[in-house]
Amino acid sequence: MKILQVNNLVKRFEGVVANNNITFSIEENEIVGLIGPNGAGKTTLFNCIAGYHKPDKGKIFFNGKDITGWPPYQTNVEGIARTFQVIESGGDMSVKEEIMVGGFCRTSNRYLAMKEAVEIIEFMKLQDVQDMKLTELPVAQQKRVGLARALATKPQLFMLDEVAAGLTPSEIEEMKELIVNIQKKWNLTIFIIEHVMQLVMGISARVIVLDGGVKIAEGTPDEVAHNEEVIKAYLGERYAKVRKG
Amino acid sequence: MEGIKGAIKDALDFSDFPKSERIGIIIFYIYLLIFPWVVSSSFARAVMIQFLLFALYGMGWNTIGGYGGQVALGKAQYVGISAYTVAMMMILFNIPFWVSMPIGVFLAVLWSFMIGYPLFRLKGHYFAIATIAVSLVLQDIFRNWEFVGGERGLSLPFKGTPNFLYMQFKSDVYYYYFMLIFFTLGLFYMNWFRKSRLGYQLRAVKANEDVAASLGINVRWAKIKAYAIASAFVAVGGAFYAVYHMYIDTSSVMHLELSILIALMAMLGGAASLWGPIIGAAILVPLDRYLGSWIGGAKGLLGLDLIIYSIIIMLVAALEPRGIWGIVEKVRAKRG
Amino acid sequence: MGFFLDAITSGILMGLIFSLIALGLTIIFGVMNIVNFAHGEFLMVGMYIAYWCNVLIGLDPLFGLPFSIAAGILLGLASYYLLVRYLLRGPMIAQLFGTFGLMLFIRYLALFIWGPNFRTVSHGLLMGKSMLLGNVVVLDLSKVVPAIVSIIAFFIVSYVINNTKVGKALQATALDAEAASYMGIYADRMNALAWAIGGGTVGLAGGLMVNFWYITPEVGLLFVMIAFATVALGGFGSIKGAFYAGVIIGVIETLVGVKAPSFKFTIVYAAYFIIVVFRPQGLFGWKE
Repeated sequence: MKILQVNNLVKRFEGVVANNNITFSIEENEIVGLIGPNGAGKTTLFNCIAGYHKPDKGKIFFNGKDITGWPPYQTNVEGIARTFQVIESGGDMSVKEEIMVGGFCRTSNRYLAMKEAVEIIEFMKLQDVQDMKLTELPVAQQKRVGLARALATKPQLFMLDEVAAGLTPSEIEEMKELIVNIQKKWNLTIFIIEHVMQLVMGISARVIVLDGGVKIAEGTPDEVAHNEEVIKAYLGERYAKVRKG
Repeated sequence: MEGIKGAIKDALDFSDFPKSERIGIIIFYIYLLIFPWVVSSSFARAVMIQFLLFALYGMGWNTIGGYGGQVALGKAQYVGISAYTVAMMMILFNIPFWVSMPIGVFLAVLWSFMIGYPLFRLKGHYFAIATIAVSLVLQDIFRNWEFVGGERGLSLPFKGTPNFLYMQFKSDVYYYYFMLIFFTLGLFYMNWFRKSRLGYQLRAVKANEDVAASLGINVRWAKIKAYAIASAFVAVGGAFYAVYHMYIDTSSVMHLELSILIALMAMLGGAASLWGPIIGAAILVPLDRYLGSWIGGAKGLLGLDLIIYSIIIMLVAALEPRGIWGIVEKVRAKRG
Repeated sequence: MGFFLDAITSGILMGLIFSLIALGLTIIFGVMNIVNFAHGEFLMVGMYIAYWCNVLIGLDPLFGLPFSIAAGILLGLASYYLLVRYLLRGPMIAQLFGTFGLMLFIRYLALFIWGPNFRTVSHGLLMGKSMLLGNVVVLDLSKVVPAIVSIIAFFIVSYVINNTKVGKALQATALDAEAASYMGIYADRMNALAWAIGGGTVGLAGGLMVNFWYITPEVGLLFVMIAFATVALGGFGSIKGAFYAGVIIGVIETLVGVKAPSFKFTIVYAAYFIIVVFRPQGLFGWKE
């Protein structure tokens, strides 16, 4: 069963085509990676799906329902949660309260929202920092809170935007494990943008590659890693020629 | 039914505050309860009634301004709408306060939805200035509208005998206790509100609107709702103002300075905290009234009270934007 | 018809003053994203300076202009160094309240010192003189000259900002203060400069306005609201926008004033609301 289907998506910004005719789909309970050099249009694609940008052309279906152009809060209520590259928060909320906000997505009952938050805090091992503010935490913990509050909205499709950026190698290993565990525990579908290959190649069943706003490849991590186009995109024309001999 | 029970429980439950704060509020509340018996000066009573009124205004503003972080500077228009409704209904149709007040509040809330819907397309400075602009438009309309008294304002008809239905009493003690009831209900409501879904969602909106939207929050609608709640609060106060003073005009219930004062109470005391508006009102109202009576009226000292006011505003804004409660929390954080 | 033309011309003349008042506001906003509520009070001080120059040393309002400009610049710099700098560290709400407090402070200080009376400059070179334009339109010199001075001021400020080194540095700060600081442009100094220009131009406007407007400590609020509407219509941060928008607002205000005098400023507030809601980028787009 396809959970997400994107057809011929086009998004332009004042003449620059950020996403050009992108088509792909994601199966339920899959972990799919989205990679590509900087400026390839990965985050734009996320923003189109989650409703932060309105696509100029194309359709997005979620569980068979046309959600093209829906505002972000509605896509979230429908079952899509996303994290942000930079965890920004100027607020005065504690970690626990931030996660409760996510919990309030599905209920107006404070005790249920709290129960949800407590469960996720335990799973994420955030008990020690739950009363601190987001800005007081180290990057790795901030990323965990970002995951936790989005998870609290009980999504079916979980979209992660560079959760490993800025982490140390050992933290990346922990994050990798965490994502796999999240997928198992809640039976989620995960769509992940990542620059850290160690992580994305390690956990994805399938990888989609964007370059210059165009989908240039799709396949298993192994297939993609040996794809000429992909190597060219990442390492430049010359390297590909050298490799060829 | 279960939901209402839970809400009432939340409203009455102050247990998440530190013990010192709970003891403090109880002592303060007991003082409020016995105040008219301890102090018989009618001036002091008038100051206390005004304190309760402004604390109520400030609590209302705190929903949208404090928790929601939206600098709404036109709250006086909602005070005005309900004050004028109460006054006009009594003048034209002899309708009692307890009937006209809910209608006034309803009209204020209705207007807040109509204004809030376009208003919340705006953010930051644009929003703040727009709130002022709208309230000035309404003030101009009322000032030039002969039907509602125009420049002269409205005097409420005097009933002759004390009358609960029309809220006309011989002694200001009655007004004091009615205001205390409104204040108390407001406090309980806010205690529930800060723990409610909307309360949490507003704080998330204040922190970051994009993140808030990613957590299923309809940002604009959350703001509109909070704006309507704030309007209802100040509208209750406005209705009371009309029957208490028996006279209203645009400069007493619709003026920009009232709007500013409402926001300032909450800001000075500490926005986004339950006690903030109460502390702000407890400092600013007596300061204003006593300064006003001691020096403001004296010859040649015109405006001195407002100069002192403005210095306080600048100091708070420059040194501790989180207000007095922010200072308290800072000191506490250093100790513990 | 003649009456209609009269309204239009006097609207344009008044509008050019509105433009000049809005100029400083839009520059300060453009450079540092701060709305200066005290802007109308700067205007009021400029008016009082011109008034006292006239009353105390018999200086014609035209020759009092340098004093009004100097007062405006000093006021702008003092506001920046004593208050605004500290507000920048806080959230937006603190900035709003900070300049709002400044507005109340200057207004009531003026009330304290000079009292609530309406004052007018009764003798001046321009007063009571008029000229005919094509035998139809009567032009009041006390408005024509200020309007011309306003145009000259716009020309000078635009020239400085577009063609001098310091002007370009100011633009760089407006575009991206952080990037500008890497190039050795101190945002702090540029901010101060913006406040000096802002204060100076609005001081000039005040000095010009005493030729035809009354002076009271409360005159500021009305004009700051008009300036907000002007800046919104022209696009926040746009100098060219402020110029044209001021003229448009002036014409609207005068035309409404003919039909419904008590609502002539109401329409300006309503215009602000409608503009920012339906065309938030103003007529001439954002600064970027």
